[in-house]
Amino acid sequence: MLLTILRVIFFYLVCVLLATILGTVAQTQLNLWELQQLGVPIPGAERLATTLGDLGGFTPFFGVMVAAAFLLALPAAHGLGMVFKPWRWLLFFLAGAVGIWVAFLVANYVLPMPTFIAATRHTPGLLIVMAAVGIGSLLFGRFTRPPARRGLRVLG
Amino acid sequence: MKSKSAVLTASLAMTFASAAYAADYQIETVAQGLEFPWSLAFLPDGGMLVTERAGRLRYINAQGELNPVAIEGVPEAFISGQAGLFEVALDPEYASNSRIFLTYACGTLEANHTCLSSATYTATGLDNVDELFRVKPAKAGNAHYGGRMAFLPDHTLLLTLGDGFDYREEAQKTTSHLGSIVRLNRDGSVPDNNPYLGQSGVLPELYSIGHRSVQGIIYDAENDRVLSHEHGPRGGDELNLIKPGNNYGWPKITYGVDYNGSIISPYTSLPGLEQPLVQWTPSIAPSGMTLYRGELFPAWKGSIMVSALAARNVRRVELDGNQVTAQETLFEELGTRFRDVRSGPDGALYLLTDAAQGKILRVVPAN
Repeated sequence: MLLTILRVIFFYLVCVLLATILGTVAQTQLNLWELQQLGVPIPGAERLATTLGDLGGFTPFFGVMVAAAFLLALPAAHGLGMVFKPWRWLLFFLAGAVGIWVAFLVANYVLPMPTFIAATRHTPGLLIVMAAVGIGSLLFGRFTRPPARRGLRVLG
Repeated sequence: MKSKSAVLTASLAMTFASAAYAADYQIETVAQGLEFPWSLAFLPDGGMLVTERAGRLRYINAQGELNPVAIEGVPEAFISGQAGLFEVALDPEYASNSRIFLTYACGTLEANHTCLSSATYTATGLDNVDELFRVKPAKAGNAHYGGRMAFLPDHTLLLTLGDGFDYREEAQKTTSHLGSIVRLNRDGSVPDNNPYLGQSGVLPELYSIGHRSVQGIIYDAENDRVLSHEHGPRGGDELNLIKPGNNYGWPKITYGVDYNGSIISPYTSLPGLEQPLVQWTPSIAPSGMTLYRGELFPAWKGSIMVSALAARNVRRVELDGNQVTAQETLFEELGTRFRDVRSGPDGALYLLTDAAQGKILRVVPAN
């Protein structure tokens, strides 16, 4: 039992880290893309330096948001996945994506600035960052997948 | 009301300048109970007009008595977050035409603008209210309006505008007023020598672009120059020398990062984009500005005074030509956010505190 709990916590931390990194990298590329639309040159070295800079400067805030979102979203996905077994992977993906979206909404409501993360100002950017975080939650679902059992399947 | 009991004597907190600049002062409360006072204009009769962000224009007479009744006829402002009634300024020919100018947010949360109106100020209220300008395009949200004004020697008017926060890229576009400074005639028409006038598809009101949230602007007659400051994001507040047609870079270049720590731009300089005279990191949140030319504080004469919200002080900036040579932090002992600072006709310095129970303070020599 203890080992199972530790295993889940370990995968939770790994997937929070992974989702945070993926989301951070996504938002950096979106911000740089906006600058490129204004005619600002972004050579590879600047892109790399900015991405690494954001991994240092942005991840502390974003990691807290992802961790909080996953705390609620992953158990919900797990519970629904027990019922809708064939869609377990989709449920975990959506749980992370929707979870971080709710976290954005809460941050935008609570904090004084209209949009806490600029990359999510527009729908395409929001969906990209949500998808990046969703990959993290999807992997959690994969890592913690219960062993397959033969027998009656409910709802598919 | 002027409260003699509220007088306090303070010593200057010297941050950057040498002790030789130190001056003793005392601070009197001119008026209190104002809801987020935003701007102050001195009337020829010795009184003052003061705006409250909540949408009211108030009168304080020459004896320092605040009229409890707000002035009627003020255009309806959109009031939410940073939005509301902003600046009041007298027409350069006020003595003969009694005209005043007001800036304010107008519209709704979903679609709003920074607006400029003029009106005739009378004993009974405002008459002949005329909307002269509103920012294009409309934006959603309630942040970054600008709204400060300055008059040039030809009596044209400069109006500062914010980028609307979520619309920062608009500051680089000459098809948008967001994130710019515009120049208008006093009737709202476009001066025939505006820098972008005649260019196809370009808004002719534009005077300079590439600004974020500009809440301070002055015309320095002695040096024939325009200075403005603007809020950076987290860091990168700027004091700029404004020239027509210039691009001040936001958001292509900035010394700040986003509030969440992410990098807005990897660049602090790029060809064709202007550098600030000075940048403040961490942010002080500059909110108002005046050029002190009074006689009461000889050591401050010629200094730029910048009120600050986040830093809760007033920054005195000395310039030698266009080089910043010294800075001094003032009034930190009050521990309050400052919305505006004004140089009064009596030589005193006037401060507006940013609070729901805001005050107008008058700074005079200690003895």
